[in-house]
Parts: sequence; C-alpha cells; structure tokens
Amino acid sequence: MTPQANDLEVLQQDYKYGFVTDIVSDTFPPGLNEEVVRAISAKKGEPPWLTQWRVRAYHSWTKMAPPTWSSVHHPPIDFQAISYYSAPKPKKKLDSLDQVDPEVRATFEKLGIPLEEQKALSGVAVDAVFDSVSVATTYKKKLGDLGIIFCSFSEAVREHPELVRAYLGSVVPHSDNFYAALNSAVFSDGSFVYVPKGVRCPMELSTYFRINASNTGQFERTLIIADEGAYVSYLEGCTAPMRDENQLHAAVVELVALANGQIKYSTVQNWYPGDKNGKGGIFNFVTKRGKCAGDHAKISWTQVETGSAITWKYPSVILQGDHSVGEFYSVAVTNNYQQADTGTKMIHLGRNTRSTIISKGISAGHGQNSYRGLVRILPRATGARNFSQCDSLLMGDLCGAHTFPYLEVKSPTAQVEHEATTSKIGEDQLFYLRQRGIATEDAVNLIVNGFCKTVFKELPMEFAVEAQKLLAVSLEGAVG
Amino acid sequence: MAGADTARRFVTALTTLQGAQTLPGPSWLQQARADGIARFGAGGLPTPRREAWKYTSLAPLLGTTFSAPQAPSADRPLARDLRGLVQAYHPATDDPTVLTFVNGHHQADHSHIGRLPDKVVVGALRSAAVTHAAALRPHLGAIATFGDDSHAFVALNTGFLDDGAVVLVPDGVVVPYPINVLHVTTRPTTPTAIHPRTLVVLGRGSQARVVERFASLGQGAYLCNAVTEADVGPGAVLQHTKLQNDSERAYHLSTLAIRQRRDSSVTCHLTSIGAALARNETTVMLNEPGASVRLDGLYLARGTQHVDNQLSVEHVAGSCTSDQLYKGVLDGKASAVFNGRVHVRKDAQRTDAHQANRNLLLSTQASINTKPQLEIFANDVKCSHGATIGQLDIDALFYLRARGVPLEEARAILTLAFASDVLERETDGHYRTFAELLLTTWLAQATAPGVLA
Repeated sequence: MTPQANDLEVLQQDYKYGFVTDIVSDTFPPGLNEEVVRAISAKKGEPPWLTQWRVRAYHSWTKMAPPTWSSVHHPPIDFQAISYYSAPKPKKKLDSLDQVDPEVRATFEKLGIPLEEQKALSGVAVDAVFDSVSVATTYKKKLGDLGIIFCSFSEAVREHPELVRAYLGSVVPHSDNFYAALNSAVFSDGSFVYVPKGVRCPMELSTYFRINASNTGQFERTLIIADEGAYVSYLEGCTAPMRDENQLHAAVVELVALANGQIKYSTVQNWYPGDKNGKGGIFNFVTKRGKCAGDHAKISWTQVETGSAITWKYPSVILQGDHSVGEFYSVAVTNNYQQADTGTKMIHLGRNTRSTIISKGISAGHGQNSYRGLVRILPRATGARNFSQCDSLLMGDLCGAHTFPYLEVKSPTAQVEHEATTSKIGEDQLFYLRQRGIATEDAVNLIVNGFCKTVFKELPMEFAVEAQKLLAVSLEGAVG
Repeated sequence: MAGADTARRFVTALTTLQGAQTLPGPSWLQQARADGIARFGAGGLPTPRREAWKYTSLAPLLGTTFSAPQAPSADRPLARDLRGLVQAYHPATDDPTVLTFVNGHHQADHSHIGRLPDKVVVGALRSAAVTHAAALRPHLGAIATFGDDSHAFVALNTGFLDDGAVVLVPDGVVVPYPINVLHVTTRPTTPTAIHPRTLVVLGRGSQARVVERFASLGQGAYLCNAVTEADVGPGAVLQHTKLQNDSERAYHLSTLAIRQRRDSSVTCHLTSIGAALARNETTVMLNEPGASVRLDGLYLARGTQHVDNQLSVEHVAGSCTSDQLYKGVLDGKASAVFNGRVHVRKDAQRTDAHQANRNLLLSTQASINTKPQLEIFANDVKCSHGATIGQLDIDALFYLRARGVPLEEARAILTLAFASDVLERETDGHYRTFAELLLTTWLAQATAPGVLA
C-alpha cells in the first residue's frame, strides 16, 4: 500500500517563542530622514566619522529603489512607517547578571538561554542582543586574556574605533544595495569580533537576536575579523515574537579573514514565519558577505533557514587571497506561504581559489523556494575550482522550487561544476519505512534529515540538534 | 542618456528606412506587420539591464545603419557562386528538396522540389500567404509571439514578414526525405537587414524533417533576424536541424518557436559556428500530455565572436519530457552564453526534464556565462540540470603527445571527442558528416597557441 496524504495527522504547531515582553522602550517616532540618522548617531554617542558614514549611506539609499529581481512577492514596504530606534531604558551600569532587567531575564529563560547557567554549563559565551542594545555579555574576561574582542558593536565603536573604522564597509560598502544602504544609515547595534594574529578562539561565539518592540525593524550590524592565522566559529540564532503586521529585518554581516585566517559562521534562523494563511511574519532581507583578504584564508557559511515570511539573503565570499577557500552550506525550508530566495556568490579573484556550494531547499504547502547563486571566476584566478550542488525536495502540489545558478567563467584553467536535482519524497522510500512500523510523519522526518545531512554535519553540535528539531517542527502537517 | 538616444534613433531608422509598409501581401499580413513595428518601436532595443540580455550587448549594432536588402542581381558570377554553395551544402544524390532564399527572397532558379508525398506543401511564404492563407493564418505569428517586451526581434521580424519557407504536412503523411531550407546573404554594398520567416505545420501523426542552413557569400556585414515557427500536431514527429554559418561580420539573431500537441515528438539540433554576434533562441511549449522534446546544440566561437543560446521549455501539461544538451567550444577572445530555462507549471505533474551544458575553454581570454534554470511549481517531477566549465584534460593531452601526436593535433582530437556526443545525437548521417567536417576545418584553423602549449 502506498501511503496517502490523508494517512497523515495534520498537526498545527503554534509558534513556541511567540510572546512579547513588556518593558519601557525608548522609541523614536516612525519615519526616516537625515535628522533621524544623525539622531541615532548622537544617541549612541558616535564619533563624527561614523555619523558622516551613516549620512553618506542615507543619501545613497535615497537614490536607490527596492530590488525587484528576486522571486519574492510582498506588498511595498512603507519605510516612513517604521521606527528606526528602540532601546531598553538604560537604568545604570550593570556589575553582574543579577542586575539585568528581570523581565528581560525571564524572556531569555523562555528562549532557553538562562544567562547564569550559560557560563557554568555550556561553555558558550553569549552576547544577548535584546531589541538593538546589548544587555549582557559573558565570558568576556576569558576571551580578553587571549586578546579576543567580542562585544557589542556600540562598545567596539567606543573602545576600538581604529579597528571598526578600518574594516566597517570594507566588504559591504555603504552603497552596496538598497537594504545594505538602509542598514548602514540606521544600524542600531550588533556584534563585533576581533581575533588577533595566530589565536584560535577556544569557544563557539554566539549571539541571540531578538526582535521585540512592535514596529521596530531591527538593523543589526555584525563585523568579524580574523587576523592572520586566527580561527573563530560564530553562531547566530534567531527567534522572534508573534506579530500580525510584517516586520522588516535588514541586517548586514561583514567577515574579514586575513592570511591563513579562518571564519566559520553558522546561522539557525527561526523567525516568525507568519500564520498558516500567510498573515504576518518577518521580512528577512539580509546582506552577508565575507572577504578572504589574505592567502590561504577560509570563510565558511552554514545556514538553516526555517523561519521568516520572506528570506532574501545571499551569504557570499570574495576569494581575493591566493589559495583561499569559500564554502556555503544551506538548508532552506518554506512551508505555508513562506518564500525564500537565497543562495550565495563566490567571487574568485585569487589563484587556486576553491569554493563549494551545497544548497538544499525544501518546499511544502504554498512555499516558494529559490536558489539564486553566482560563481564568478575572473581571468587572474588561474586554477580556480568550484563545485555546486543544489537539490530541492517538493512536498505537496502547491509549492515551488526554483534554481537560478549563474556561472561566469573567464579563466580556462578553472574547473566549474554545477548540478541540481528536483524531486519529491520517493513513495518507495516512504513505503519501506512504513512497512517497518515507522509512522509516516517520522518516516518523512527521517528522509528529510537524510536529505539535509551534508549540511547539518557542518553545524556545531548544539546547533545541529536544534536544527533537526526545527526542521521537524517546520514541516509538521505539510507532508504529502 | 546618450545611449538611450542612440538606441531610439537606431530603432526609428530600422523601422522606417526599410519601408515595411511598401511590402506586398493581403491585409491581415499588413496588420500583423503594423503590430510588429509598433511593438518593436515601443519596446526598443533590449539592453543588458534586461535579464534575458544580461550577457549580450547589442551596442555593436547601434553604429550600423541597416537598409533593406537589394534583390539579388541576376549576374552570372553570383548564379555560379550560388550554385556552388547549394551543391556544397546538399547531397548531390537522391533528388533533395531545397528551398533557397537569397537576401530573404525566394530564388526559384536555385530551388528544387524533389520527391514529396501528395498534398505536402513546400514553398515560399510570399506565395503561400495567398494560395494557402487559411492553413497559414491560425499559426503564423501565433507560436512566436511578442506580447511582452522580451521578444523584441520577433516583433521586428513580424514587422517585415515577407518571405521565407512554408512546410505544410497533412494528417498521417510521412515525408521520407529532408526538406532543406538555405538562407544565403550575398555580400551587400551597405549593411542590410533580412527577416526570413519559416513556418512548419505538421498534422496529426505526420512526420517531417526540416534542415535550415544559414550561410553567406563573402564576409559581409548584415543582420539576419530569422524566426521559425513550428506547430506539431498530435502524435507528429518533427526533426529540426539548424546550421548557423553566417559571415563572421554578421549579426545573427534567431528564434525557433515550437508548439507541441499530445504525444508529439520533436528533436532540434543546432550547430552554431558563424557570425560576429549570434543569438539562438529556442522556445518550446509542451501544451498537451505525452509530448517530448530534445534540444541538442553545439556552439563554436573564436576570435571576438559572441554566441548566446537561449532555451526555454514550458511544461504546460503533465507527463511530458524534455532533454537539453548544449556543448560549447571557445577559443581566442570569444564569449558565449547559455541560458536554459525549464518552467514546470502547477499542473504539469509527472514531468521529466533534464538539462546539461558543458563548455570547453581553449584560451586564456575566452569566457562563458552559463545559467541553467529550473522553475518548478509541481511536485511529482524529476528535474535535473548540470553545467560544467573546464579545459582539455592535461593527462589525456600528455598521453597523446607521448605517442608522438603533435600538440595541435592532440588538441583537435580531444576537442572533436568533446563535441562528438552532441553530433552523434544527430540522426541524419549526411548532416552529421557535414557538421563533423565543419568542426574539423574549424579546429584546423584555430590559431591560438593555447594555454597548454
């Protein structure tokens, strides 16, 4: 017997992390103009060069139009209806974790990151960004002893302006694209990591982002620098409260790896995807790019995208140094009315540069999933090598899976391979598992996990576990 | 913007200078021309900002003023050259059917209708538009459409729709011999633009093989903007072969549009070798279940040639199959584009679609932009695509050289081997031999010392 769709129990899982914490926010009225940009900068006590940089970004932004080339559809966004600054009221300088706002603490408890236990149990330093301003940073001293800087972006601007000034915008210029320009003008806060020469960061650095106050788009800015011979693994995970109106998130992440430096950047993105009728959900329009600036540098992106109403992100690597390596591993899941347009760009400039792209897209319900990637090999990049594999899995007859790979090769010594497949879950595979007494839902999870295995094995252990759970939750009730 | 002005002037010049209004034909044809001119005038020349033209710039066209082609003079040297060309391209034996068009006009002197089954119509469009209007009208312009701005050159072709080949095969008739169509452009004194249109209509259960060749006498500069439309009836079988061997100074922009009915089968084979700028567009609509299509292509480019291959297969109905295999060999400073698109519509279940593009770069300055796309809106499908770009295998070259084969010859052997699996998919032995000869000649002329020397 072949399992039928009606064999399956349709489960409706409420968004587990959907709650709003009521704390007094210091919020700007909606709207954006040069004054607002200057006010954000003033509020954060930034030096004049940074204010100028923001203003230049704002002026670039006013000359741009929102991109329309991707396969995502959404009503036009009224950028004047968004409030561009929201911060929890500063009470006083915090000496210990006990002084953190109890409500904020409670929120973190619900998210499963009890700060006081983090130190003792997990060995993971957490820089918790709560509505745009960092409220607590742990393990700072331990990292400090090694010369590693891991702090909020605002703090980095105050304490290490020379580093921020040298690298800010060096990978994603302030005029790069519509949403990057917007972020550059109004970015609120984010994380900053600097790993000095030859230092291997002893722990996974992790940040939990959380969008909280209503109507505030969150504009994170992350900058990670691995100096010569340094290594760092960075984890980013996201959850957000349930909302009816769409919320905009336009983050920018810049990675710089100098000679022999290595950066591993992992993301599990689980923002509110909207309800099953496609109402609400986060618009996740992110610019992520890394630069292998020196020889033998390596940047690796791993992402598991299960949330957001719309995901629009292309974590990219500029392979400038000779023998540098870029990697992109991605699992993107779209269920209900979710849309994902994601992929990567590998720009080969240096000799003998190598890149690997593994992308797994899963579409269910009315979900639309696009892989859009670019591999560009310039004439100087002799001996460049690329391998790309993009597979799509379709569940249900109303979803879509699309592949748009661009391969631009200007060097004859390059070897470029791209392959992609699209199929549904094999009925014989399902039958085999069902026959052995495995429930259909479990059987599907097993198959899906197998489909994603090559990506999951790139994730740090804690994340891999979370990712598998997320995938199961995201696809509940979607199996056909 | 100066660029936009230039483009606008070019469009105006192209649409007015040539005097589409003065072309003969029935009123419905006049109306179709007026629509085409209006659409091309309104849409203008596509720029690289448009996704379908991202890698192909039409800027080189802008500096040229194209005039309407002169009727070929009846002088004897031309007639002799033409005869030579017709003979070179077609087998002398077995009474072949050849329709020859010079500068877009049918040449009865150099055409020959060989053995054909009864009721099969093979002739020139200009006369068929009058004699077979009822059979033509439902199809002409209905397969190669230009409703949106994406098919500017189909609109332009329709604007100047005048002559070309017509093949009408009634239900159940099998045409056992190939129908050859030869488009020749003579070396014009000033650059000319020709717009040949071919229409093939196959009735239920019929079979035909159409071979279109584009060639030139002398290395003239001209624009060949060809459109071929094919309506393939239920259960019909069409084999379409196209050889693009235009002058190395020419612009060849062509569209092959195919519409398939239930259980029909189409095989298209392209060899693209000539023209300074060539664009080969193929669009296939699989409108009813059980239809299958295979698109094979081989493109060769060297010097500063640019060749752009655009394929679009639309799986409208379920249970259809499509298979694309395009291979490219690029030398010198040549550049090439492959943009293959497979679109599986929502209800096109049990679709089986495959796409492969393989490229061989022989020189340091050659470049390739390839984009195999899949857009899938159905779940019960098997789709795959693959693209590779690389160079000749150094070990294989070493193997041959170690056995005393000179470098150039070794390169030629390996390149021929690379191209041969596309050529082998061509079922017509005569054409295959001819294409192999062209390829061998092309390889022998390759001047670039190559990166592996």
